[in-house]
Amino acid sequence: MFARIVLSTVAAAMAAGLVWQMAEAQQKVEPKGVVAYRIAVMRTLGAQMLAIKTALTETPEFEDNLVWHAQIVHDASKLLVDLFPKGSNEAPSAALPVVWEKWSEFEAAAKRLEELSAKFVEVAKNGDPQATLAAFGQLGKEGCSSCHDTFRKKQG
Amino acid sequence: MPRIARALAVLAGAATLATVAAGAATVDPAARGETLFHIGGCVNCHTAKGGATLAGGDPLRTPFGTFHPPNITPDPETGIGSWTLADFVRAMREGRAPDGMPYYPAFPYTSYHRLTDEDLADLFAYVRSLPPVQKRTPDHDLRFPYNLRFGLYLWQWLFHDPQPFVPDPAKDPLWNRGAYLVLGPGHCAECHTPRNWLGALDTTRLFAGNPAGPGGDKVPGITADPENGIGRWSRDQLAFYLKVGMRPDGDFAGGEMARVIENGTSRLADEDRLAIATFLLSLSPP
Repeated sequence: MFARIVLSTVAAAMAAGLVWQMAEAQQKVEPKGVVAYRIAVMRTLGAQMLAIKTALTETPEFEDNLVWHAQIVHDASKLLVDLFPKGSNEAPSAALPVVWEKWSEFEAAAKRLEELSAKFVEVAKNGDPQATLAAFGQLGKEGCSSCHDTFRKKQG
Repeated sequence: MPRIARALAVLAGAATLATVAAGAATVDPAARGETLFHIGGCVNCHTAKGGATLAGGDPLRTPFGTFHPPNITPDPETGIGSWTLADFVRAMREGRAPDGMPYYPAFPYTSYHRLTDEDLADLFAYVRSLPPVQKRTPDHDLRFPYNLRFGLYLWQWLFHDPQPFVPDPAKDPLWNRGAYLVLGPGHCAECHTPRNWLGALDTTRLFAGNPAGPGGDKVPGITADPENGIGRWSRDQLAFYLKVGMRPDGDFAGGEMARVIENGTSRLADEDRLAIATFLLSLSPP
């Protein structure tokens, strides 16, 4: 009887461990194809935003590069909708099905990023750090966050 | 510098200080209340997406059922237009309606009770200055036994002990300002702390995150824990995040926190964001 309890406990623990490992493995799946490309482009955008913020707040010696970074964000914004062909949502894609369910709203959100980033390029060219920081904040909130809010899975 | 010039400079400095103090004292209470209104996040719950400000919010889905945040515009019939300051203070401190009925702690009086008398008066003045909107909101739709409102008398007796915020004299003013904003009006603990089965904050795990936050979302920990927290963030990174929503890796997250930033922390003074960051990064993991 005792042995049976021990055995079943061990079996249950092993099963739980297996489920845990499978869940872990699922999280670590490597992106492929369109999803891999999309993630890479999105990371490029994030990297530009980080570079812009750093130049504005910590390293004024790189302020001359702001327009270059801003232009990358703007150019990439025009590519975005094409990165989401129907059905391209295999793991580890963080896109929500609502992207394709409300496609015109998604297109409008991408358009908003395009407009805001165009405006940001112009403000950056004027070289006023305060105005650039304000436009940067607007770009991040209305161009990035608001779209992620609706169309991307919550991040950890 | 000749002595006379120095004396004049001191006098000028004193005059400036006096002007600043007088200026602060004569600022319209409603204007001071606006800052509290932003950090308090009133809009996040009490305004529906695309709806009139404070005229009732979108349904708040929780493990206990669905709450419908009420209209708190100054409309006398459907809002809080007939309330006195004493009614408002009682609601914010004791969690009681003007008729004495207890409120569900979905309304975070469990944090708001730490607001000072002056801040409550300023906030009330600001809310009263907003346009009234006549709009009735639905009753809450909760599961048994949470739908039994009289149970809240017991709940408040067990879990609600309104004590004023007491600054820690061992800490500097910036830390204390941050502590007040986070623990009082900011009510950060309400989402970032797990709750027990009766919906009370698990104060042994303050700011450790909540696996089942509002809307069923996982809410991250915000102590200085490098793994389950923000211990790897610098104070400036955190202050900047509260300003524009950018995480240290360059990502702009959405979700509830994006709204908290948009309607709240982005509208604060830089000094207040630095205060919040200073306090949060001083919290050791539970």
